Amino acid sequence: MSPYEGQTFFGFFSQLFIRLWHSVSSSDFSLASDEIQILALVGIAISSALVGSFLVLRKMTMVGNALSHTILLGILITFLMTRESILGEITYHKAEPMHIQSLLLASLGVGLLTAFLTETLHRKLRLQEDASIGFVFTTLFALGVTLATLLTRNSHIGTEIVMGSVDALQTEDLKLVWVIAAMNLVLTLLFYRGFLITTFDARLAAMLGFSATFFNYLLMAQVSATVVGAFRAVGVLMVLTFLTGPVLAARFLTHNLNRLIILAIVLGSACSVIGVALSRHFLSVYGLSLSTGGIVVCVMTLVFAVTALVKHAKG
Amino acid sequence: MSILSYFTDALLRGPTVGSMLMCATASLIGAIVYVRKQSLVGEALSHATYPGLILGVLLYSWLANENDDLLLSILIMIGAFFTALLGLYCVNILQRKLRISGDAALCFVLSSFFGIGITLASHVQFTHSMLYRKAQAYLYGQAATMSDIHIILYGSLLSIVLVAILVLYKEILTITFNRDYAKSVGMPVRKIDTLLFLLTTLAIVVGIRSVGVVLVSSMLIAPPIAARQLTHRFSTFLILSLLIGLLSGFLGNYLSTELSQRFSAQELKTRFIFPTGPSIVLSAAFLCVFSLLYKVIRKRTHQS
Amino acid sequence: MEEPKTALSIEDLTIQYEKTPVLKNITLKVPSGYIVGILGPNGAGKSTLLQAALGLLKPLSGTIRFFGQPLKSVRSRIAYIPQRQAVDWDFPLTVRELVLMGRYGSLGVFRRAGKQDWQIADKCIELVGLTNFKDRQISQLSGGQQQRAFLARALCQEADIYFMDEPFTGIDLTTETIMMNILRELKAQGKTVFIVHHDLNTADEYFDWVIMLNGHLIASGNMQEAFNTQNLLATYGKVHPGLFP
Repeated sequence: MSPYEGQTFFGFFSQLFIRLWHSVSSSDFSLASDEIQILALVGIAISSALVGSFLVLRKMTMVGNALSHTILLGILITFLMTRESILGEITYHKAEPMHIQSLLLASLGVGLLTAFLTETLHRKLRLQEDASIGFVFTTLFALGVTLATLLTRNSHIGTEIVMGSVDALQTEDLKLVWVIAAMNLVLTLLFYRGFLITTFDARLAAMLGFSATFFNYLLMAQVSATVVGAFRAVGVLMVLTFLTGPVLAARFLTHNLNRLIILAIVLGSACSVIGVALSRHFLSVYGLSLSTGGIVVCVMTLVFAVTALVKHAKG
Repeated sequence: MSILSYFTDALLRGPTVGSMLMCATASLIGAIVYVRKQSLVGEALSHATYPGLILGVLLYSWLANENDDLLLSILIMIGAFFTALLGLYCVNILQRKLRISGDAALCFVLSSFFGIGITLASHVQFTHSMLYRKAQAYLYGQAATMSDIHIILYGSLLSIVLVAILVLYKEILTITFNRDYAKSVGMPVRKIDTLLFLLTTLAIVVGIRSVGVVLVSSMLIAPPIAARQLTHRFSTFLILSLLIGLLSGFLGNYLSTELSQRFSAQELKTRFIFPTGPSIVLSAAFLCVFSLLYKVIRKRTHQS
Repeated sequence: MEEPKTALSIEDLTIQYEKTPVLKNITLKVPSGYIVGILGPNGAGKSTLLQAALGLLKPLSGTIRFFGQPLKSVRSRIAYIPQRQAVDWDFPLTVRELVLMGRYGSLGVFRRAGKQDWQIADKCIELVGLTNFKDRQISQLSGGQQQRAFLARALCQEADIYFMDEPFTGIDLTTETIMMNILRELKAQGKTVFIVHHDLNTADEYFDWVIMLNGHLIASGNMQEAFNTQNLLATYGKVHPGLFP
């Protein structure tokens, strides 16, 4: 029985604060499912805002889309290697450090593979850039779905992959999400100057010795990790809203990179919390069991529309 | 299963010929989209169809009394068409009015529309579970339940696209290759642009039944890439794209049917349906890789 | 009123781009039968003038007339050769298909190109010396050959006025010779050719009329009259040392 059962939207928040107090004061505390969802989505929102900001500014969002598709292969490879998986009904073991490591390594590998194949098609075979990336990720994704269907013997696995299942998240999933969020925070802080310069001034970057290629690949590695973390919660496609929505909304409100990232993090997290609260509200009041991930996306879209209107009205 | 039976058998020919016609439509338009360097627009359009699909399903549940598969197909297509155009309109607004770069606009629209669709779908999941499953089949395509009526339906839609391209061949070629020149000669550039967008949306909406929402954009990308490696004449390029699409549609169906049978036999439990979409996409990808290799080898032998 | 001898007549033309004036109050008249050079430094508005003439840009004010008539009445008599960079040469197109495009304007929407059109295209290809390259893909041509293909396309239009945007940039000697011969032939037939040109050194070889621009009109007239030190200074801010020894 979840402590949030039967709560309406505003009741949800009062319950949340009660629980917050409870978590600090009491020794016997375990996370309710709604709280796990909030923590997971917020963690994903933080990672997404960090990498998404640079993706948007460097006009590489399609690469983000591509990676979120091809990552499926990375997850399958991890499954084959460790016999543990974050896919569907296959038994999900505790996220041992080894497991997270192999998952991240595999995702990095697939990210590099995607980049390599795209570059080969574009540079060596002189194919158009848009067609190159489109061909690579749709093919790798189709391959992934086929393999996943064969391995899990579940013909509906494809659906689960694109829909995610926020409601099925466990405490173990939080570990993966927050390890990745921490990683992204550290890497972004560490390489901040480099990211900044290679994004805005290619010539200056070259003069100062910052390798544009290095930062591109670093960003792609971070994106790969981010989408792996988001995979189970929101699935392949909705993570793209996490990556672009809050950043685009924040962009209407500020042009300063620092503020943009922080604002994106705040907006993304807020949408996540509101989304979970709304999901609970719809269940309690209307008896509708809606996709929480979907609701968060709807909220993010709404926030985007509102900020766009505000900016447009100001002129 | 002999290959001929795929065209004659009452159960098989609907899916097979239907898929072939759909993929041919997508690939033909894909060729034009390819030369306009808008290959990724298909991604946005296809994902934007998803909420419309669900709306079509809802509409069907209100209108239809008995099991009318054709009505369902048509309503789904209308809904999909509507939201796809809406998505395209949003991408335009994002780019023109809000000064958002093209790639971010596409990605945001495609994912948010899809998310809205998922929210709607989750609602339908419990209220109309039978219909929900039918709608979800459009995610990766399920040609299996198509009948002869669909062959006529999709054949007509392919014909519309073919006629449009044949009649406006000169305009499409000139506007795509050299827009300013086309304007200087007095061609109706804006009107043709609009027509092409409508045709692209139509092709996508037609394609999602066989390949599914998630993967249909690859039918606009892979066959044209393959065709491009085999010819440098524009007219031939269009024809080859269509043919390769046709072939992919067949191969994909053949593979998924054979694999489904193989697996159903093994599992013995519920009938295992291998989704059509990925098989068609992989077939197209295979043909594409084959063409790329062919071109590379030909280049090497030419040089030596 | 019919003014058949005036190929181009511009009256008080002003063009803005995002609130900044690019061309101001241009008024000029050019008689037919000349090879006209449109000269000026970068950003002077040369290509802008061309685009306005072709209806690709909307001016803020002013009128442009060809033989005394507005563009839409005489479109079929005007041919445009854009810059080579305006086009993606990797497009799946053969030389023959590119040149055939020149026939499309006269066909209108519902007619298809027939045998006669292909023959005209082949003839124009022959005129520019590209017959051996007829079925090649356009990226397989050199820069000069590509320019010639563009010229062949324009010739297919059988127009009376030709607008060319920097056709002499980066071409080989053969191309230059062929092109100049064709231009002189066009002049002999009474046609008028307008060429946006950036290289001062070659101006007096090619043109017999010049339009000199620098945001506004410096001069428009016969080569001998208009192409002098005073106008060159006003246009470019300097005179190339090699020009007037």
